[in-house]
Amino acid sequence: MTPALTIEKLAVQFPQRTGTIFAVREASLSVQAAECVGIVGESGSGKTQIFMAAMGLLAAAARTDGSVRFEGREILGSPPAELNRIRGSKLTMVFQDPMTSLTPHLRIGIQLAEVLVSHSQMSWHDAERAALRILERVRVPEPKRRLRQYPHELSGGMRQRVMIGMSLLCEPSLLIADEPTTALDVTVQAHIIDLFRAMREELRMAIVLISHDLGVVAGLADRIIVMYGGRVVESGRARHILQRAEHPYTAGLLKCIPDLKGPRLERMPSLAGQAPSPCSIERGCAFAARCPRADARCRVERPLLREFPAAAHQVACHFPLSS
Amino acid sequence: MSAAERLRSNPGAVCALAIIVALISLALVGPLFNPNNIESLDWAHVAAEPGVIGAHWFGTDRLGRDLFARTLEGTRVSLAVGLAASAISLGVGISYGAVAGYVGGRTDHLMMRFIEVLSGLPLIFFVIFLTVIFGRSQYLLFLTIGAVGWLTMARIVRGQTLSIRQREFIEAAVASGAGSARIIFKHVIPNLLGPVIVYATLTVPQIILFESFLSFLGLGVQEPHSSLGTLIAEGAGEMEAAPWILVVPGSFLALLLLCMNILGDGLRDALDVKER
Amino acid sequence: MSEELLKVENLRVQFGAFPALSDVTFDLMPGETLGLVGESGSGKSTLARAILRLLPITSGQVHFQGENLLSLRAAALRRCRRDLQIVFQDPLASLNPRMSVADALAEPLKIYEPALPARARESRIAEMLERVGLAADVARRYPHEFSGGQCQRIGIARAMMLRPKLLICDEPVSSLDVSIQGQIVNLLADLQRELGTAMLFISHNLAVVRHLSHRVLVIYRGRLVELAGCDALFAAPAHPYTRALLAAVPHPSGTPPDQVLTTSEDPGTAPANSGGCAFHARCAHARPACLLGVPSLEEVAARHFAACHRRREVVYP
Repeated sequence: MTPALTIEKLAVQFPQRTGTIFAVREASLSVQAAECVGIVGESGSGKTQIFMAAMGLLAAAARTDGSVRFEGREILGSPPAELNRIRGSKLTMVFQDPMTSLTPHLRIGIQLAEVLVSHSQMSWHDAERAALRILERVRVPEPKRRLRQYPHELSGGMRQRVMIGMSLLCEPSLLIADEPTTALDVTVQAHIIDLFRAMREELRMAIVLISHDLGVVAGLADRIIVMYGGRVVESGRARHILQRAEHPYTAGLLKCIPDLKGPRLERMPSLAGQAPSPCSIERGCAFAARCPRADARCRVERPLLREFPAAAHQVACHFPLSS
Repeated sequence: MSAAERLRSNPGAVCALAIIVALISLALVGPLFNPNNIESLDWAHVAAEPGVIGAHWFGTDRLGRDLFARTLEGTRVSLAVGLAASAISLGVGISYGAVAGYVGGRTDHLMMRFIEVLSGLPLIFFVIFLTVIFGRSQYLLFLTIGAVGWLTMARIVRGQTLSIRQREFIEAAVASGAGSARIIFKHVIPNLLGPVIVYATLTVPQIILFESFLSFLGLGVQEPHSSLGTLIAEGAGEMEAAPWILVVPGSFLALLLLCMNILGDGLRDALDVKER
Repeated sequence: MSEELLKVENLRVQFGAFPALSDVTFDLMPGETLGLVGESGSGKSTLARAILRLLPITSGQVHFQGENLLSLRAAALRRCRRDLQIVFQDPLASLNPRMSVADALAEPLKIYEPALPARARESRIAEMLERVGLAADVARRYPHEFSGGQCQRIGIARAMMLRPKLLICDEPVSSLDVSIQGQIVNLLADLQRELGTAMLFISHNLAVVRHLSHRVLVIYRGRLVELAGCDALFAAPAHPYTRALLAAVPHPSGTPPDQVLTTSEDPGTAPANSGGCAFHARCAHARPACLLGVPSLEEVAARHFAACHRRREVVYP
């Protein structure tokens, strides 16, 4: 079965006069059909840039290397005309801030219908009916009224539902959701996560869920990929990673997730230091400076991603936690 | 990359700056190399073409006065007026605009209406009026031109202040206990210097041009002193017979203005780019 | 003579017709950390700015150290500000990009202790930088050279320069990476222990609030809905909104969150003051009686208050 998305040795750089920004140093991953993959990392880890590269949305100054295959076909570097055939229909993306993703001066109904009219040969009338149906599907209350409203008349959560609806209109094979709940209140977030769960079950499509919040990813993902310093540092089945992470960074992140039902801790868990800048030159493991297990070897020799402890689990570390 | 570095890497701006510096140096130092002064009349070489004879490198005018000396003096005067008037308009304009923008409310309203009234006055009559009352003097020239130039500067600064006022570090300064004066001068103004410097460099050429215009009309600098404007006025009359009398000061003025405009554009690119 | 450091009574802030804050009443003791939890549109940031008089108040009272803040004139208000400082949500935006770190930290000293000689000022700055975990050479540099976490440390250093009695923290870690948040929260806890500063800690993040607070206030659409000691609030929340908030936080083990306890999302445009409880539209326990009159904070257990019409009827698991 062809995977929905295969990324091999992707590198994304932004050459600047003061030096190069290595947004993604090198990353390989794949997303199977109907699978939900969670990509976890902090700012500067490269988690968003990988998928911006896949969607052909990188800034003009970006230099890419490697390969991105969507349903078997190479799309990295494709001209916009070709990309537009799959972008928005088979390969869609939902961004963090729904306010800036929606056009402020067009009614919701028009923006939704436009997607269908431009990608399929539907008439405007049919497209508007389909838009109504999709709003119902993403559980927007009073959908008929919403179609006639402008983005600023909707709340944040509602707008995000509209965005998700828009990305589902053409029944995509892969939906990339970049921090879809970060800008939303936690009670609204819970509803959106619920929505994603329902969509997964109903539509059998692949989902990539990018987030800095492991908690959000934990409830939805089949597999989790952890990124740090522009590279993949751990990847495996969600259950394994959440219960027995191998990479010290992942373990650190897990400790930072609050457990409100557990006892109140003296000190709030955190990782010391800060993430490396994408402009810095790599020397050894990017996490060595903050790692409690690091030794001389880690500072000099960059660990490669290898399978450990079992086949489906990969870690880039000289001293994984269960060794 | 700092603003200075960005400017240095802009070849047009660097060139323009070099030419301006060269012109200023010439205007200041040039007369040392030339035996003639601005008033001496060389009857032997009236309306002479530019040449080496008598060290009249730029030629002479209808009265035998050396054009090299006069042009350099004209450049000095024009630059002096341009820079002094700009300084006045900057000083007054920035303070006025920043206070109006920061204080807001009725005060702002009144202050801006005042500017609008002044803008509506016909400039030339204003200058003539002042010249009649105070006589023609170079200092009056500085003041009147500066007094006019500050209006636009104040408007620009007020606009910038209005947007800076919303930024969080201003709130932080208020919460720290800073008074309005401190906020305006230590927080608001340093953050709008970027656009202001750019507008200033673009205003200087405008002011020089305006002064030339006034002098052309006979309202500015008076004999025996010259500014580029008076020289151009003279030269215009001699255009057919002795074109160099017009061409030399005209080229100086054109070159000066062109370079200042290019430098102004370069400064805008260097300063307005968001840090990081 | 009251001993509260801060006493807010019936505070009301209205932006035109929109009621940002209504009938807010609470007090804060010296050395205490009061957590204020609420989501977007709850008015929590408005409350912070209202207390600091950074925006106008429609009605109500704010007493700080016994003085009525609202009646003070400019000079006296500035004197008060010395003891009442704030740390903002966006660390980079709250620093003047044209001022070096040293200048930014020196400013409070220049305003309140103008007679202090430059040497003494420099050493106070160096001492504060060390206290917040920054190297001394940070002083020469400019805000844009630092990361979010470092900028926030600078912001905290600036706020603490004069050892204020009360530090208002408006979402100080919300824009920081998860792994850095703890650094800043622990720093604030340390500072409180060392300097005895009281804190009003505002956040939408319950976990963070839990770490620092002695007592917690929950605010919804401009009204206080629950007030309790920290442990009591998290162990046995008494208001349906608080319960919904707690239930919505994703659980680390990967099990899906408890049933989503709000019946819908925020209606968004529906007015909050259509009479009755503001949470009515989303509450799983709502009854028609909830529409009769706005509930006020009433005691439901020892020093535990909730604003719910059905507080005596509903039994929570």
